[in-house]
Amino acid sequence: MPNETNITPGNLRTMTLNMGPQHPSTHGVLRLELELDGEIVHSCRPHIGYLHTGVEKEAEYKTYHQVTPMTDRLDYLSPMSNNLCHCMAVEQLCGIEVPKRAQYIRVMLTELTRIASHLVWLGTSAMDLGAMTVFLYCFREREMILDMYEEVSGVRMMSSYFRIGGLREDITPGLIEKVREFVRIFPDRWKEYDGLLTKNPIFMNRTKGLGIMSAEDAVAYGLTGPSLRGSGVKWDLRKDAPYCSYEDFDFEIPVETNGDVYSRYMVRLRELLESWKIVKQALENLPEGPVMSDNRKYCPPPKPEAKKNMEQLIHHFLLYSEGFKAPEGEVYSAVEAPKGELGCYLVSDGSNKPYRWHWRGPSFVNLQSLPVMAKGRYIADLVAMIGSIDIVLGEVDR
Amino acid sequence: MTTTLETLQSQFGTKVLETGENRMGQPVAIISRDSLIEIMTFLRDDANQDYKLLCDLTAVDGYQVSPRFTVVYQLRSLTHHAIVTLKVKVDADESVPSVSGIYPTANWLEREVYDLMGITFEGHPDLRRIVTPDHWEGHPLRKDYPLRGMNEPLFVPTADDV
Repeated sequence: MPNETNITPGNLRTMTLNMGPQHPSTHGVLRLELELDGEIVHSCRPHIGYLHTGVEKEAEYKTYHQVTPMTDRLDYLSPMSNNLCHCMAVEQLCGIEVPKRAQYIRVMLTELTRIASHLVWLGTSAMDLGAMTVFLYCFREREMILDMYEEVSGVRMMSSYFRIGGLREDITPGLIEKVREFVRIFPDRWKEYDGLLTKNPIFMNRTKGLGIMSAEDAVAYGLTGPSLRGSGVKWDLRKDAPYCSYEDFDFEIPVETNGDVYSRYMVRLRELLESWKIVKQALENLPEGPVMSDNRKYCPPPKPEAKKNMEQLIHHFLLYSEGFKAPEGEVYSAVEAPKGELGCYLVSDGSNKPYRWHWRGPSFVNLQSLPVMAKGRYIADLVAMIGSIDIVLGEVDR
Repeated sequence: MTTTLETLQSQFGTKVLETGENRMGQPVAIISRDSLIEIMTFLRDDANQDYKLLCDLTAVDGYQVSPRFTVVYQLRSLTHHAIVTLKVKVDADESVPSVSGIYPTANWLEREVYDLMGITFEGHPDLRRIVTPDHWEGHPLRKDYPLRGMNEPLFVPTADDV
């Protein structure tokens, strides 16, 4: 029932409605406090925190190695990117050089993660608008990537495969085969998604000219990733501040200028193919060599050595029980995660645990722009806008 | 070309208390609390600086040092491909001017710092708790806040529970 007493100064009779926290299109537990004038959204106030776990506090009580598995659970759709961000922050703090082979495998797997994350986004946001088929098609290919996670780490979602200084172990021939098969079939599958949505008149009607963020607004509200590039700002950390050997790869940064839901859709859709290009190059040019740094102050000795040599075994044991002492100092390390700039601000006091470990999640910052997009729009279009900024509530609430 | 830190020092003199770099070689400046807005506005609007994107805002609890807290700002320039870290020191009973007027994205980031660290931001339009419930007591990220919580009941299983 409309609240009869709630009359705003402009003689406007509005109704307050809570959308969520249990609502299928909020992609988790997001509550939006909407003030509605009929079907028009007068104002929108997001309420978050339902999934708050206090991970930043927890990290201060864990050794650097123990923090890695916690990062998987933040943006649970892109575990590899989160692992990479944490490991890179610690590596830069301690000055650890990562071998080239490990860097290439990292690039390959984070790009597969980007594809997996974008596929979930594509499937769910299209389903919010009523396009059910796309969801089934997307999850078919995502399943292949989850199988690859299982191949390298034994786990389908919370992989924790990247370790400080490199990787847990070298990849198997089985993974190479799986990636090769994926690279072979993906362009055709991409054409299917493209064919289902890009020129679909219903989809275009529901996404074009909607949820517009101008380039100035997008930067002022701290948008990063595909949401920023959909507003016409060409900014991607992989090109503009390369890390982890991204400078060796040849790929484009898709940009769209309209800043609406359709632009963000186009950017992500084209990014799928760019990521596919990077995976292909990484697979073709995979260098030989070790996958773990030989800086034994921070990195464990190879397992065969630890099994034969007593000193190595003691060292292995110490690194995994007590951890290592990182030098005093601070870093702000950022990677381009599927959803935007993922940053890790790490302060060390010289002990074996982080003194402060702050996670700059792109979902948290990007969600802030939702009230700007939603103002004055229909409540039915809000669903498309939430989908288009691609949030994961695990990362928003942390 | 002069670096951002040199420009800041020549432009603002003693308002820049300390400069240096972090372990990645990125510039860091500790600035005085009163000139925060002035310096941030300069960095955003000056064409040679152009730090338009505030990508992170957080705080560190020094606990036994004085002033106790450090508020940390990470600014990026998209045109010059540069990043700079600004820091402001503040004590528990003092407040920091809010930068949400210059960078709208600071709105939630400052709310988060207020919620978890208990630092107040002067001039913030809507300074409420953001990730913890409204009735929450204490500020969890402070170093004197215990990991298992302030008033949480301790779970000790008895024979009946098993």
